[in-house]
Amino acid sequence: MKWWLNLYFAEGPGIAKDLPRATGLRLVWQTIAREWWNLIILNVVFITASLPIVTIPAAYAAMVRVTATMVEDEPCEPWRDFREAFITLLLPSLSLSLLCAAMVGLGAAATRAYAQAATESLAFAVPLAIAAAFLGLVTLFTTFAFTLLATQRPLLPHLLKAAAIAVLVRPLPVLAALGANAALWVFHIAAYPSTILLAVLVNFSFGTLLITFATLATAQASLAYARSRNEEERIKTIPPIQTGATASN
Amino acid sequence: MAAISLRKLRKTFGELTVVHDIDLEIADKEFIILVGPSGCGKSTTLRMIAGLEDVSSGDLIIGDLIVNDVAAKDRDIAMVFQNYALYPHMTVYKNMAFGLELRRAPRDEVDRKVREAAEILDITYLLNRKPKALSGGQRQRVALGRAMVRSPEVFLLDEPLSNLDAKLRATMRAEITKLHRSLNATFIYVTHDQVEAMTMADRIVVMQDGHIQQVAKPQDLYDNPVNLFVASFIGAPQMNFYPVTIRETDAGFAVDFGGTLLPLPPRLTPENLAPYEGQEVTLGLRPEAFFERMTSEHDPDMFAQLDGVVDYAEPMGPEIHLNFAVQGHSTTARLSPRFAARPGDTVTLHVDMSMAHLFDPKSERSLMAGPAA
Ligand SMILES: Nc1ncnc2c1ncn2[C@@H]1O[C@H](COP(=O)(O)OP(=O)(O)OP(=O)(O)O)[C@@H](O)[C@H]1O
Ligand SMILES: [Mg+2]
Repeated sequence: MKWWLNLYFAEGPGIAKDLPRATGLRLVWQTIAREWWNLIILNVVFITASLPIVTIPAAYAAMVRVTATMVEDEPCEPWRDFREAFITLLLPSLSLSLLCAAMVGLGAAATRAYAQAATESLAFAVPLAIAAAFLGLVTLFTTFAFTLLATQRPLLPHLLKAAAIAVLVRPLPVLAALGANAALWVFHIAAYPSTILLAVLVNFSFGTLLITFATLATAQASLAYARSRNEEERIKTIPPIQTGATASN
Repeated sequence: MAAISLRKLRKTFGELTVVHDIDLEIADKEFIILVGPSGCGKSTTLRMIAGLEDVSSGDLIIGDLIVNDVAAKDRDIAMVFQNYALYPHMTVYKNMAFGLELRRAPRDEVDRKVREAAEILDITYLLNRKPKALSGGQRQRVALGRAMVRSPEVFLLDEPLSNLDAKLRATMRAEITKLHRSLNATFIYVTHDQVEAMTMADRIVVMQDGHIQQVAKPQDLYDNPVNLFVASFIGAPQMNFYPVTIRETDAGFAVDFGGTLLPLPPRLTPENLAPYEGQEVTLGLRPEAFFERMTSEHDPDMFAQLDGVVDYAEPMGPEIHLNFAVQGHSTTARLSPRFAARPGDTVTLHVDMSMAHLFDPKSERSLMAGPAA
């Protein structure tokens, strides 16, 4: 009887006040360890909110908002925060998704067409490369744009500009995060159906958490830059360029 | 307005009466501290005020309302317990916000209050942590914060610092005093710790066996204890007690301590003393009434010498506590650390009798307090 009460109520070692914040993968790990239960709730809420299909963009944006709270180590209540974000972002995220879908669709179609053509004539290799690069860039652009929309609610021109800047400044962490997402889903499909619970409980929210880690700081810095009017402010807000391939804030 | 009156307040558990018809008037915004030995009914009294225990008889009045039958949650009172009672599965933020959310306070307001309280208590960096990892002091702050966000008119604190180490306790004492000033609320605080009581209270209530023995400002309590219990309970090391006999001499009243005549201060008037002429009373002398030598600041008429055999000395740093026996009565004196004495030595100390207290050995009341009402 006593020992399990102690488990809960015994004094802990305390938390130092000026502990430097962990960075990179360590921070990712700490966040997951702290928020695992909220991530599970979030995943289920996301799946439910996505069922009408047209709400997927809003559900994704809301999920980004909630994971951003986690990344910033702020108190988060997945259900309440999700609902609020979902409602306010319903239309904006739908519009943004149409825009992004058009670009990604264009990139995908071009890539596919040139890929087929390239099998017949190597002369199409160059346009194929260009189309593929475009597809990659608009995918990254979409990721950043959604993070911006979900966390900052900027004006459309600022949003587009900031997302474009962010893609150029720090694409690698996002690529890594997208890669991790892809790996997660490949694993899920390969081991299906034994991994069905994984998808239901964590895949979406966990994957989104990684993306938010990779995009949040860069997106915010880029937005500050895009919003700044004069030269001096710009110099102060220049986003940090980092070459590491892992997500780190 | 949150003045609180206890009128003949009583608490019984079955046959057992643990609080006996106590009367106490607590002013609005006052900082009242309840002290007393374990089991004397401090927590029970506090819990009655909080509404966590029913009042067996008597009236409990908050503001100008009799609240005997008002539920705890409707009393505008916040209570901080000794064991913090934080919810282990909630973050610090949630622990603090929870009470307000239950009352359906608007979310912005909850957030503002929680962050304000966290700022004052310097726990903002803990808001997203669970209690498990927090140290005692950190938990204590969270518990205080949880009470603060409700901005109650009355704060009840039951030994809130008892689990902390000495250093943290000193810091938290200062913080709670500050908190009291900034919150503008009535504080009722229970403690075992005399230092806490003396340093923080506007007034101290000394309890014993469910009775209030004395209510006074800290210094008053120390200087003028009304009875033997209060005299021995307040002050560390304890007051020393000796059986003495009252004698009337040419120079007025004095006490006879085993053949040595000791003078008495003028605050003990002939009216106080005359009824006891020739009778045995209890002399009380605090450890700081003993001196190695007299100086020019001392009044020679009030001084006497006592011999004693040294038992042991406790060096405390700035002073030593010398334990010795005076005519077989064990005595503690507070002396300068340079005072050198080994066990078995005979020492002669000077006593400042202007600090003397006399008590009726039967009623245990101070002779100065007059006969029992
Ligand atoms: N629910 C109860 N049933 C029976 N007796 C109780 C109950 N609660 C308290 N008591 C008794 O009432 C007396 C006063 O208890 P209380 O907790 O008020 O003391 P206290 O002054 O707070 O002591 P401490 O300093 O140890 O906390 C004790 O003798 C205790 O055993
Ligand atoms: Mg108690």
